[in-house]
Amino acid sequence: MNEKEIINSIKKIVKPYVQREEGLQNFTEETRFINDLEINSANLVDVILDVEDEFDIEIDNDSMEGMLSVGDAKQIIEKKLAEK
Amino acid sequence: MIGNDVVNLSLAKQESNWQRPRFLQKIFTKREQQQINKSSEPEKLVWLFWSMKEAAYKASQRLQNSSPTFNPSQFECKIDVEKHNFFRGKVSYKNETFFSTSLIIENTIFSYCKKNNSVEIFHKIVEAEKLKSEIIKSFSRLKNLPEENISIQKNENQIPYFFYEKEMLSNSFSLSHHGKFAAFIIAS
Repeated sequence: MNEKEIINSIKKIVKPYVQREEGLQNFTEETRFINDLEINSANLVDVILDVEDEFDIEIDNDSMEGMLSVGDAKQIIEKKLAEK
Repeated sequence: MIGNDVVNLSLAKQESNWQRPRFLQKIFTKREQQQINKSSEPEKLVWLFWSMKEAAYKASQRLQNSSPTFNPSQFECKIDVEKHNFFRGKVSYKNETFFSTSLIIENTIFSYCKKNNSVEIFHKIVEAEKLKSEIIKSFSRLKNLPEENISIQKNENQIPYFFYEKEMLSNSFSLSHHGKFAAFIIAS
């Protein structure tokens, strides 16, 4: 799976939790889940669980700690996919 | 340093499914999960612990001026006193302990945490849409400063600070909203 595909599936995953729709229009690696998309912090847990299901990976709580932007998520997904 | 959090239980029910597989493991320590599992009101305890963790996280982030992180399971909650819908407890995070107070009113949990338990605080519950104007009004009264010269701006780590004209003030405070209710806390 290439970078673009990963970013597109992150976009699909976060969509139901986004409270600031404008944030989705300019969706880049710099997009931050809480500040730019206004995803509430409890739903960040759902994003992480959805990412785990979609990519069939496990994100431990320490990796989760830095997962605050699309780019962070992409890096963690790539790392976990490489470990598979 | 202080922090607060608000969780409306009806809105939380719509927004999150805490019974989703692996949800609890992502947020809570083993001990907290055991307490939730044996509780007669697990849902209430889930959001009570959650709000305590969020409040402690905000206090800790302000204390360190650290960049935002997300690791709720590193914050461990303990409830020491429970009377009706009033709770006092502690939240430990790394080497720090935060003292928490929570109350449940109108199906909404209001929690706040203090690093130093003897700090006097001003906590107020307001309507969500009036949160910003109310906190500025209260702060101006507490500090005897004209309201129109006070503003709130976030720093590079998204931590809010009061400004008096262009001068950044060090006063610790926190604000939170969820649904129609909001609350703020100011160290006085």
